[in-house]
Formats: sequence, C-alpha cells, structure tokens
Amino acid sequence: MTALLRTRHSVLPGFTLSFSLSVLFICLVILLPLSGLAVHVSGMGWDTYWNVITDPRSIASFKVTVLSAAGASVINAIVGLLLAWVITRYRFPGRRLMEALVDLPFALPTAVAGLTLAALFADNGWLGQWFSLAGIQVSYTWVGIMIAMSFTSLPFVVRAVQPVLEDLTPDLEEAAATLGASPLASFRKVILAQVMPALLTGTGLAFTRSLGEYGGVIFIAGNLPYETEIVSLLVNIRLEEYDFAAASALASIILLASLVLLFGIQGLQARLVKRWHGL
Amino acid sequence: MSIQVENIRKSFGAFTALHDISLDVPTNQLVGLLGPSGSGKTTLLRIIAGLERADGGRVLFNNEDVTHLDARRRRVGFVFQQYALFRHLTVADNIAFGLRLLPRAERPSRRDIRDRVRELLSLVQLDNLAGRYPAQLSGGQKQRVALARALALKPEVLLLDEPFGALDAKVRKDLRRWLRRLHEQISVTSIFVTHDQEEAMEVSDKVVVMSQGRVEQMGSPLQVYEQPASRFVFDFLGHINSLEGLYDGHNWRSGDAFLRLDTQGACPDGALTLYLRPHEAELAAAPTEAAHLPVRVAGRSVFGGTVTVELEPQGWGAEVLEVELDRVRWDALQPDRQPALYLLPRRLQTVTCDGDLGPQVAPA
Repeated sequence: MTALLRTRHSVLPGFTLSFSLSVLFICLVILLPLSGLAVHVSGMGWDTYWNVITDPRSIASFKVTVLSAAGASVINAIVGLLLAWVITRYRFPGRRLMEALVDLPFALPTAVAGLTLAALFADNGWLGQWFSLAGIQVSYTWVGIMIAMSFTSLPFVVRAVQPVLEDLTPDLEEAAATLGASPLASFRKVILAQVMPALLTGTGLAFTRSLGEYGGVIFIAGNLPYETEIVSLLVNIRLEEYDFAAASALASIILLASLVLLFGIQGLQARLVKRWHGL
Repeated sequence: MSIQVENIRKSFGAFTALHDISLDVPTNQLVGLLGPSGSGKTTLLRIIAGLERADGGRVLFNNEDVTHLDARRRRVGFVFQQYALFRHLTVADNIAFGLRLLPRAERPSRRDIRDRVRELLSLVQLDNLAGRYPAQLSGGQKQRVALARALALKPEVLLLDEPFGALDAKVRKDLRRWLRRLHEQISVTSIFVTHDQEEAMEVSDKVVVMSQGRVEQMGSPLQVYEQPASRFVFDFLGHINSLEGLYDGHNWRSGDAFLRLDTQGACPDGALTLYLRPHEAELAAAPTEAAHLPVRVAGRSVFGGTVTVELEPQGWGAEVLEVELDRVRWDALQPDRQPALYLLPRRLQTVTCDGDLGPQVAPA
C-alpha cells in the first residue's frame, strides 16, 4: 500500500483517516446516486432506452440545450476573460465589489436569478423593451436560454482564468514588445497562449454546468416543447408523469456528456501543466 | 551604436525619479549603472529601452532621436531581472520568438531561424537544452536563455536590468565573467543596471554611479574608486570606516587617539571626519609618531588570503572599525600575544564640515 501510494512523508499525520473520509464522501455523494441512475437505466432494456432518447421531443431538447450552452460558453469565454483581465490588471475604486459580484451567480439561488432575468428581458422589462425595439425576442426563445445559462456559469471562467493572469507579470508583455511584437501579437502569442488551458477549463466547466442548468433557465425559456424546452425540464416533466425510466434515460445522457467533458478537460489540463511546470 | 541620453526627466506623481540626466555611451562599451534601490537606474534603463516615457529630454541612438519610438521599434535587446521567459514555449521557441514576428519580407526562412537559434544556443552554452521548457531550467540557465532571446534580432543595443539579481552568489560570479567575455565576442553597446558594487567594478568598461535620480559620477571602475567625485560615491563603493575628531592644523585628535596630518591648509581647524577604507590600514604592536590609534580585536573572519578584523577603539570615540589584512602578516603579528594593538592608516579621505570630500591624506 505504502509503496503504491508513494506519498512523501508529511509533517501532518492522518493520511489514512483523511484519505478514507474523502473516498467515503465521494462514494456517498457522487457514486451512489450515479449507480442508482445506472440501475434504473439498465432495467429498461436497450430498445426502450433508444426510443426514449431518440424521441423527436428529446432530440429537440438536446439540440436546444447543447446549442444554447455552446452559445453561452462562447459569451462566457470572452466576457469572463475580459472581467478577469480587468480585475487582475487594474486598480480602480469598486474593484473589490466587482470581484465579489463575480461570485454572485454561485451564491444566488438559480431560481431567483431566473425570475430576475425573466422580468428584465420580458417584452416590457427594463432590458427587454430595448431588445424588442431592435426586433430581437429574448424571452421565450433560445436567446433567453443562452443569457440565463451564461449568467449562471460566468464565475467558472473568471475563477479559472484569474490565477493564471495574476501569474503573468507585465514584464512578459514588455519582453514581447522589445522583441518587436505588436500589442495584438503579444496578446495572442503571450497572454492568450498562456491563458488558453485555463480558459478552456473554465469554459468547459461553464458548458457542463449550462447543460444541467434548470432553475435559472425555465422562467425565461417559455418551455415550448420542440422549441425552447431544455433537457432538465423534460426530465422533470417525465418525473411528474411517474415515468422514472424515461427521466433516467434522459438524465444519463446529460450525465455522460458531463463526465466525458470533465475528464477531457482534466486530461488536457494535466498534460499542459505537466509540460509547462517541468514535472 | 552609441547611446546619448540628454536631460532626461521623469516623475511618478510627487516622486521625482530622474532629475535631468545626461549620459554618453560610446559604441561597443559595456556600462554599469550602479546605485542603491530608488536611485532611478532601472527607470533610466527602461526609458532608454522605450518601456517608459520620459517627461522631458531626449534619447539618441547613433545621433538619431528615438525618444518617440515605441519599444518594439527601437530594436534593443532587453534582459529582465526575473528572466520574463515565455513558459509555454521551449527554449528554442523562446529564442526564435522575435525572429518569427518579423514582417514577411525580413523574416528568415524556417531553416535560417533554426540555424540562428542553434548558433545562439551555442553562444550561451546551452546547446543541448533547445527542447526544454523554462520551468526545467536553473536560474542561471534561464538568464542565459533570456540573453540569447534578446540577442536573436542582432540588436546594436543591449540593456540588462539587474541581470544577475535573482541568482545565488557563485552562479552570479560565473555568469558575470561570462557576460564580460561574451561582450567582447559580439559587437553591441550594453548598459546594465546593478546595485552590487563588485559586479559593476568587475564587468563594466565605465561605471555610472547614481543616487536619488542624479548621476553622481561616471568613469572607469578604477577612477570612481580611487577618485570619488562625491561623498556618496566614496560611501557607496565598498565598506568605509568613519573617524570623527577635531583638527588643529597639524594633528587630528579624538580622546586618547591622534594622527599627525599635513593637509597643506586644505582642511580648516575644527571638526574633521576621516574615511578609512578597510584595506588601507595596517595593524601593529606599537604606535608610530604620526599615528596613535589604540584598538582591541573584537572579532575576525578568515576567508582566503585576507583576514577581516573587527576592531574596538580603546579610549577614543568611533564605532567598531573593520579592516582587511593580509593573512600572512596577520599571523606574523601574533595578535593574541600582544598586550595592545595600534591601527596605522595608510591613506585617509578627509570630509570637510560642509560634507564635501577634501584631499586624501596619509599620517606623516
């Protein structure tokens, strides 16, 4: 066991205890519900499973969810990078407030966020009226879903990128400038290149989170079957119809997608970190 | 390429970093900007590089005004104290960074870039590390990569900001000798910033001593050491002992101690401070007619051929004195067997009551 773990002797005792507790916790909180889901799904047989997930209404909801989540992630990647940049690089009054506000979407119950967004973007809402003047319908469309998703997952990007930006001292840009780099070139080849892994991680997490977002979205989405119905809502509808098997089948797809994404991100991150940190 | 700095001024808010600085660096010289932190040396270097804008004054390269050129158009090589290597690029890619950014018409072919990188790697003696990432290098290796990167575009001006500041003593010493040799191999005008007197003295053709945003003195290392232009320069270059006493035209006295000094009327009667460099004194078992400075050994440290001795003045007022003696002579003196010891200065720097430097004198 000790040979297998190869941990360096630590001054703090209690590796065995802390390790066991972590494993136990992971089992209870994560693995147990997961296996419950797997049991539900495995009981239904391949054909039924396939029918549920290829049902046109399901397909439509997958499409809405994935496309909106992708759109939200792109917005978040850009806005999140910008926010993190402003917070790390500039000192201005209200910076601490801004820093605290970034976490607000995490702290706020998503249903509250959803209600607020729905009110804001309603056709006669503060923001919605301007959008409708421009002929853009936000509420009850995928645009609304996208906005809700990007609101609830923005902190992932900011918090992933921020520490990396803090590490990038201004002398790197200065070095690039003395080597003849234009501002654009030094942003692309020095800053963006080094932030990219963290940005991908943050965006990936935001995307994963958006796939499963429920409370934030349903109020603004309108929830029209085949048009603005997200997968989580469909799962909920099936549950209310006591169709546990269908609900599990749908949930398993979201789960699978999330797991694949998470492991993918982890792997990518590990490879780059290993290289750059000389391990 | 020669570098001229004319009347450069720079303030940060209420703090004036540089007061009207003018400097002339002839082609292919290696000049050290030496000063304590806050003396403005790094700011001056950054202004020469174009990384900082001066509030007034001009910077000229080969008599051409570059004051309003961006850093990227000045074509200077700049080496940062903390290396500023791009950690996501290999050593070779770091060095090739500037070459790859050249406009297409000037950019060398892929092959030429590879050859140039190889050439630079061998110049900095890191031939087999081309594929490593910066995190896999030691501090000294990183700084050499940074130097190779700065030289990649064949700049005619090379600026180094405390290039060895982050390295340990042994590596520092090796690297600065190596820099000196490198500078003789390539044709480039270099300015480097340091707060380490020894480094400036060893590496530079000329030393510029700066203090509080002003140039105190510019000259060869020997010149600034032997003929300091101001009290600050004398103070800053190496350790000094300060002896305070009264002068009556013939003798300098402090308690039981006296020195017979002939200043040929340069020093008025009254308070007179004498500066003594640690290596410009001897220790003897008996005083002479011209020098009577009783001392007691309070500590010693032996390193190489010299012995650094801490001396406590006996019966006269001065702080603990530090002198460096030849180890052979120290052993011959047998200091532990002597009932009393006397300090015999060979040369002293007088400091007049208004704080300026007077003549250098010897007891006689």
